[in-house]
Amino acid sequence: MQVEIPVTSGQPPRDPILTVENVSKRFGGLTAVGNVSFKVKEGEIFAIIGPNGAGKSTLFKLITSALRPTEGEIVFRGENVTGLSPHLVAAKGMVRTFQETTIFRDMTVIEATRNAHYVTGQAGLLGIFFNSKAARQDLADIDASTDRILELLELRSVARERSKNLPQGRLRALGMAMALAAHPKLLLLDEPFAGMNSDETDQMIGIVRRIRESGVTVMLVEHDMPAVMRLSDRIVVINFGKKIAEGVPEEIKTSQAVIDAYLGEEDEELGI
Amino acid sequence: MIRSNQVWAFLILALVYIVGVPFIVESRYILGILASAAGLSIIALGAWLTLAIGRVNLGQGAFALVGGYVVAIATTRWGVSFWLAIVVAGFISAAVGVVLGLGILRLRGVYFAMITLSFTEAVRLALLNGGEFTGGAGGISRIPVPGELSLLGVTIIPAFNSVNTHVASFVLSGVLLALAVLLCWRISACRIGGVFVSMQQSEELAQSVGVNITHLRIVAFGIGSFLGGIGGGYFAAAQQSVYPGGFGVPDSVSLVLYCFLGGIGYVAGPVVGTFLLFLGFQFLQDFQQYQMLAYSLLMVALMIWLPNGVLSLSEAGWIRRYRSQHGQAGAHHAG
Amino acid sequence: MTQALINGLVLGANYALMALGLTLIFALMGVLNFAHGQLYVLGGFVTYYVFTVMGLPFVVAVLASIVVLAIVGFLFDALFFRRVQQRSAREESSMLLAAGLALLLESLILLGFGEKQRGVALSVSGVYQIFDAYVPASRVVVFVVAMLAVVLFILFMRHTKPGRVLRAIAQDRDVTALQGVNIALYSGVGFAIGSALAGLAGSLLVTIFAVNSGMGTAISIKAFIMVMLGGAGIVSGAIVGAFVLGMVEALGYAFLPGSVTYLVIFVGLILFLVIRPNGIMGKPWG
Repeated sequence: MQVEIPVTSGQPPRDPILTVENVSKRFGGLTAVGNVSFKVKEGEIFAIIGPNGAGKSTLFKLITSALRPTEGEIVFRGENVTGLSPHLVAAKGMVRTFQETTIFRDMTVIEATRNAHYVTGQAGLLGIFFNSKAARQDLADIDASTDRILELLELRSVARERSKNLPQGRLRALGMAMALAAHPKLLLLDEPFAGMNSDETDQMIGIVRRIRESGVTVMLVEHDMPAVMRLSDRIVVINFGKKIAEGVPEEIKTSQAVIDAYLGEEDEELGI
Repeated sequence: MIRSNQVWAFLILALVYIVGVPFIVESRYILGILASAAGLSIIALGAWLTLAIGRVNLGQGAFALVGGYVVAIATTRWGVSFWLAIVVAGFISAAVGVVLGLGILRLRGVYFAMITLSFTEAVRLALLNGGEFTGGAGGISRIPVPGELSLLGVTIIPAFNSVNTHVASFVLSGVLLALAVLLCWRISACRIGGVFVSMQQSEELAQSVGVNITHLRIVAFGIGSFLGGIGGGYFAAAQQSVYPGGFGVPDSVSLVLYCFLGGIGYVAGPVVGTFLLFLGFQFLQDFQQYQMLAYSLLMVALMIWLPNGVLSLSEAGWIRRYRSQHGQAGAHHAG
Repeated sequence: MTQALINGLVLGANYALMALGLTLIFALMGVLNFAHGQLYVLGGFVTYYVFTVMGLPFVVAVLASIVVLAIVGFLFDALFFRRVQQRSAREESSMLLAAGLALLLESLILLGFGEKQRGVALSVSGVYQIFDAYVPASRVVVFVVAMLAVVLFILFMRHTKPGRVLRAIAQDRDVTALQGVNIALYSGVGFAIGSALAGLAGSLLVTIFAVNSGMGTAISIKAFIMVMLGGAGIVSGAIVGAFVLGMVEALGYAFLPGSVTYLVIFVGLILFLVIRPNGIMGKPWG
């Protein structure tokens, strides 16, 4: 069931699912993020890239409300979510992943995914405690959803493995499975390709595309340029906390500002 | 998941303990220390719930004091029935825990441990300086033994002074402990327990999938304080007196030690740890002046050789092999 | 008033020794050493034994306390903490191990020195008058020695190689290990120094307050207050915390009834830590 969603710059603009407007973050006198704006459209795969220390991860934290911006606004699905508590942002449908998912070492893949279905369901804490009818229905829903997610992320075969025994690529997919358990509208991926070999990268590109096909908008923050160029519909480039370029991969590849920014990085390959 | 045959096994075990022990054990002394171990286990279970969300709680002594004084004041001054007083004691302790928790639960590690330790001392000193209301250093004595509990003229629980008081105290401790274990067992086995595990490992990750960690931390700490209050209330009635030194920092630390030495990965951990160490200490009396030395050596040895608790033995290779041959699963494994 | 302030200063100087030892161990191991008070008590008893029972000079008694406690501290690390830290990743394990060791040390002190309260009368004659307060010369000695030890400790940490290595370990254990430093040896040394400081405090203060085998936990709690107040793991914080506690205690005992002083201190500490968990000298939260 390959459903291609053609998203190119030639398409008529859709409603933005996420609007980042003039966002700045200063720590003391240091400006980590300076006046950055962009829009993520519904259904696209959007990437933020930049050299090391460019302010990508600060920007990521600002969007997910782990940090509060000094100035500017974050609007998600028409609602201002600036400074909202992170769990509320997640409950509204903007969910992030982490680079490291090694922490649930003793849980199996299926347990960790089930466990992450916190926002699913109608039952309150007392309902869950007393196993009310609603709670039993929730459990059935969670099982069905877990099944779907493991299928989507190709985790079925390792469902009963403990996470500490998983290879890097599967572990990263488990982190995404847990994020999908919160039923996001927008999934934010924190360096999904970090530390991966080319086979794992290919597999991950496939997985991210399938997540998008399932109706979830994807935004990623990434270092790995070639993978981003292959995967993304649109890209924003950050350097020294400022936006230096925005566009489709072809535009980014030929942007002089981007080439200059990356020249300083010796171990960084530009995916041209 | 809890299977129903596990629940039945637990209920039968509890019944055998509560009904059987008084028949076999005639010594008032042994019955008394078993009852004390059960009472302490209830308080330790409260500490365990806070450990479950990744906080070392050295405040359980304070909540036990609060619960004990509520029962003492309500029964001696206002003539309230013990059965009502102990429930109120649990809820007042829980309320104190919620208020304290609102301020301190965002802290972790030594910071949380240190504040709860200060709280234990603060409550002890406040009771010491409470004047006539708390009875000062001498506390409150002559607390009546629990009276009759009846509903619509039918006696549900007989007055303790109309039966063998020691046996009645023992039974009360056993029933309260069984209820406390069921409460914690259910919490750790349902989805809430899974979320607690996530929070203990990474609050940031739990938050990222929509968990309201502030709310759940308060819930865990509040229930823990509730159990502390119930345990303290039980001791007030069983010992018929309360005084500020009844629970202090060393007790708060011991309760957390019991949890660790029993195994914090298991609901039964705090109970096993408390019984093992509390009874162990009593039975080491034969060593006389070497009692404390023997006890502390036992404790340090356990920490070094079984850092995940006594119950982690159940994960040892030979038991696992035995189990896989006989198709049994661990009964009390949490989460 | 002046009397209370001077008492506070003398207390503060000795408390600083305790707090420095505790904060050093905290910085190295990431753990509040629950056995710290028992180390202090042992220091007091060794001084009592060497000075009063054996009749040797006070200087020898103080040195004996320092040496004995340094050895005990080194053994604590080598025999217990190192093992538990290797086996268990949870920081609580070390905290509880320390609590267990506190009990072990307490029972050994009880067996070795009995349950009687012991004090040492320092026969330094003379009384100094400072404004309207009278200060016995023995207290001046205690104050001067304690301050000297604090200064020596700071100089050691700043200007010697072992001191710099210990600071590096406190900052980042893994990075320091990568540079080929023998971490096991140095954490043993750090533990020995921390314990010796506690022992020195016990050795000096036993001339003012008698020690008994059961008072260790109360002393540990005092040391915790100072360290948390100043900022856990921070040297300057430990000194500030110690003098603040010494002063508050001296003033409280002068003007408040009995145990109300500590009630005020604990309530104050809870409120303070809720607002500023990193202490006076630590970085503010967030």
